[in-house]
Amino acid sequence: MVQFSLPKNSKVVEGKYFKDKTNGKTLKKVKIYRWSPESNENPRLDTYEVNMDECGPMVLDVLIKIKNEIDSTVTFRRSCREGVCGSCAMNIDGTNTLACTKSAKDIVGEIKIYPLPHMQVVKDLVPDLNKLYKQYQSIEPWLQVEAKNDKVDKHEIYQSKKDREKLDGLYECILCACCSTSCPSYWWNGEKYLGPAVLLQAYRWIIDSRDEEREKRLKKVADELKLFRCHTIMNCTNSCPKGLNPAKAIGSIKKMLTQYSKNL
Amino acid sequence: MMKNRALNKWFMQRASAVILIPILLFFLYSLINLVNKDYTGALNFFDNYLSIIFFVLFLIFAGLHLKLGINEIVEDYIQNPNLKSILNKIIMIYSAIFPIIGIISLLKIIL
Repeated sequence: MVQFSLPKNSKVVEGKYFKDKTNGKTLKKVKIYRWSPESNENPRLDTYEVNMDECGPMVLDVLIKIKNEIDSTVTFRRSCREGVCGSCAMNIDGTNTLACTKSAKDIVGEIKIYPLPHMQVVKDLVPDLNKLYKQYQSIEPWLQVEAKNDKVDKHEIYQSKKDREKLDGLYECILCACCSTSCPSYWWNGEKYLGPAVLLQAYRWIIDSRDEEREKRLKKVADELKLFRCHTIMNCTNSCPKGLNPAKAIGSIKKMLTQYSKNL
Repeated sequence: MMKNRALNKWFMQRASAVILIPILLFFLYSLINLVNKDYTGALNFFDNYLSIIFFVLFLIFAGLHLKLGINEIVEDYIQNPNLKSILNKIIMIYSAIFPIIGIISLLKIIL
């Protein structure tokens, strides 16, 4: 059965309190989920007072300030700082988003930061995304054309502007996993259900006019657990920090399956 | 019917939902009509082919839609394969028995 409550050793307890030492006037309380595999302690929620007059505007700036000036043990992923790499995906103020594009000012009251939900935690705000990457690998996310085909070796594969437009809203996905980790179906059946991020990527290759393995790709995802666990809950679309619509992509795969049903 | 079982199930769930819309309207109309009728009045209401056909269709498609819907819930929340299999069989029996009893009762009225 699905577990509706956390085991005792997973219950989040109140953690340490870090008072501001700079006598700042504009203070913001930031609560951060902390857990380390090296200690046998329960996860805790540490509170930091941050002087916002001496801090950048985004939540990632706040986290970097905390790590640099208050508590160097806080662990999180980050890289590009401009919403392109997807590294700093986390649950901020109850929503999965990118810390680098989320403005701290938009959050009323204290900022609560947790790792992406329902994933194994490596440490603090770092989730284990190996399962998602394996699922991504399973859809073979590269262009596939017949090896015998002469055009592969000699010529550029032409794609009309109209066909290229079909990839808009799909190719922009940065695989931050905000959508998949906000999906209840993925929470319950994450081992088998591919989840919105991977299915959006699957559709990106299915719809690509240059790819010659459309049927094979459709056959691969036409499974009760891999695809049809999506119940159009729409959390994925709601949480996507890039404004994409994975639910629509999944719907399009299902629609396409009905067109190719005789061959599946 | 489609070859792929999962696709077939998904399609049937949507198709049965669409078919049930007009049938449900007739069902509501029947309920309103039957509220103030006694047993003989109710028998008279069902003593025509139109009512019988609509009610038989209602029982068939409601049973099918119910089965597919509850199967989905079981698939989502039950992880144990043995328990899942038992529950799916119970759902299948439950969603078949009630329409069958209903259809036999209706046919008894008209035949």
